[in-house]
Amino acid sequence: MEEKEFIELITNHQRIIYKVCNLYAQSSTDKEDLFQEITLNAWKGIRNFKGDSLFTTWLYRVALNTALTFKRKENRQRKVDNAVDSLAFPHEQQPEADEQLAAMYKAINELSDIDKALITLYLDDYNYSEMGNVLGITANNVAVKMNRLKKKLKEESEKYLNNQ
Amino acid sequence: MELDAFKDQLKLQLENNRFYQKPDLLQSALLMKVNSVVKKIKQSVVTETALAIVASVAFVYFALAYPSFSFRIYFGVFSCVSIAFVFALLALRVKLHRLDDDLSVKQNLIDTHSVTKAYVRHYFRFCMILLPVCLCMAVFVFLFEFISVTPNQSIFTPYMFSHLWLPLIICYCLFSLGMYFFTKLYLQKLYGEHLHLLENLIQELENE
Repeated sequence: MEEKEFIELITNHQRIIYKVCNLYAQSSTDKEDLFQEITLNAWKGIRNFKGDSLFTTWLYRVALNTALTFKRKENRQRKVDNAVDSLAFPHEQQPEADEQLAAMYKAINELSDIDKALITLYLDDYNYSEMGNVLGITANNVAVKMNRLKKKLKEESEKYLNNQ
Repeated sequence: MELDAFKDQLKLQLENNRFYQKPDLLQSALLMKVNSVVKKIKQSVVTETALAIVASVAFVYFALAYPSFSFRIYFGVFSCVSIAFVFALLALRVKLHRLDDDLSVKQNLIDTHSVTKAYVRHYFRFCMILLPVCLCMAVFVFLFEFISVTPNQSIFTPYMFSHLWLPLIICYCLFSLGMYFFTKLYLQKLYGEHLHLLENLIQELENE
């Protein structure tokens, strides 16, 4: 694949990379570094992409693999106060719209890296079998984890709302 | 709020949002340097392999051409060590190149963990193996070059024991102990936290 073609392809799907970067990196420097690294890994790996799965699934796999093994420059301590600012698509959020959304964003930001991967795929309409395929675990395992996560997120977001 | 309700609201928001990175910025991303641990190990292995090859050639040359016999032995031993090191590094390179970002997340984590651990182990072992080799060779050269011990002369007399071997053994033990802890600490600082993080991620994926 030509560089030009690749850039066009990534441009059309870069929202996936943004989602992963915003979820896994906190500082703007780390986000930029991670974005660059995912793009570069996708470019290097595109020759191995045989089209057995959807391009989006493949890109998710590359993005999550890169994000999970990415060595952050910042301290790994999460800052809850900055959670809303650091999550996916915060700048377009309408402030009046949503305390509930903000509480959910905060709750998601507090999850472990693996749970974040599950949520990212779930929010993008992946079914349990596809999620299992990307993560390398069984659909049953995904179902168990998702049930637990849904419960946890509901509780945590309510806790944030009650504390406000 | 339920996760599914959140998902629906998020979708609505995303449909109204457009923020795209410009293609020229994406293009420049392809030319930048990467920051991942595996990439850094790959770069280190390439540099170390090149240095080990240069050292091997130099040691072999000196082992064959140096006028003094004891120095020829000295360089001969080190050429064997550095050639072995070249092969160890090449084996590690093969392992590193098998790593593929297209694998499932779990497999990728397992592979990254195993390669990083192999690199740390290999680095530690090499440092520890070099300690006795360097000491033996230093003693060998010292005895035969600088105090001119002849092959018939005993080097295990009580005098030699108290004036040479005992201080040497004490120095060696202290130096080895220092090197052992320094190397452990150095590797722990560089890769320990990352390895621990990878182990936790694998464990979390495996747990139900």
